[in-house]
Amino acid sequence: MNNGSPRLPRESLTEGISIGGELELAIADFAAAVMRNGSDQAIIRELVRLRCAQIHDCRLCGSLRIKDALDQGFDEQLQRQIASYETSNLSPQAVAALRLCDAIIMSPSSADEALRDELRNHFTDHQITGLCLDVMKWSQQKALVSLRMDAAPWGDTTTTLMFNDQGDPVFGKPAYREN
Amino acid sequence: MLAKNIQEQLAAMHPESTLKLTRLNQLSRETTDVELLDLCSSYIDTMLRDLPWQPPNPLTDREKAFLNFAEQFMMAVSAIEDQQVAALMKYASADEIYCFVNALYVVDMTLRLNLVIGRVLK
Repeated sequence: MNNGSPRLPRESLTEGISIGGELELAIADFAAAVMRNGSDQAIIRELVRLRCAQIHDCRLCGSLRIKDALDQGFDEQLQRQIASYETSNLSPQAVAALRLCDAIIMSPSSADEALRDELRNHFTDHQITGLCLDVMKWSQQKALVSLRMDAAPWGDTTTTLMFNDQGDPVFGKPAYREN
Repeated sequence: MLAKNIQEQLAAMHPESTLKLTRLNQLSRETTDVELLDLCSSYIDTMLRDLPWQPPNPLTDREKAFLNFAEQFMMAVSAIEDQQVAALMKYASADEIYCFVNALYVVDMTLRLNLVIGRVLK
């Protein structure tokens, strides 16, 4: 687990230079554009987002569940299948999306004709490239993970994540009643 | 940066996101030490292609510290150790490290998109 104190104390960072600086704002701007223009396959996007969270070991990302996906039937039973998706009951479409995610994050040179054919059985080129952009967007927390600044402010409570019309994140309430 | 053919393919399908991604890559080069970023980018690109990497010149201790960080960032970001960040602090302020790490995210992920999109959309 990625526990412990931030490696760069917040007080050592200058607002408007690093935190909230030009580059960070541009990253948020890109992420918002990806959300505004992305696929409406909320469950597939959520599976891919949580796979990114697992691989990067991002505490913040792992603590969130996208509300649209929950509304469409995403639950913790699905979530638990992500880590071992190759032997799971997830749909072939979901498995193809997760293989694309793994290729990008873990071994880009492994992306081959078999993956290409598999993806094309389930997605259009527009959807495939949309998933690629999603993986980049969901990997923005790599920077915070590397500096151990990825702790969720709400602790261990699984929390809903929504996006407003601009594509910016809006954090909501506990995702599950039992929390 | 996105390869030209990838940028064109992406822009045809996702014009706004591609524009923002292109701007993001430009800004990454403007907000951090571009020579250091290019060195790390060259290393990451070569590693992602499973090729041997040779530094263009003998590396300084500063370059070694940043490359060491970049290598772990690329391979398994959650396995970065405190000492690897502490090593950067010998050569850069917290603000500079924060900007560098964000620029590294942009470079690292863009290189990955180049490789994978180039293969799955052929």
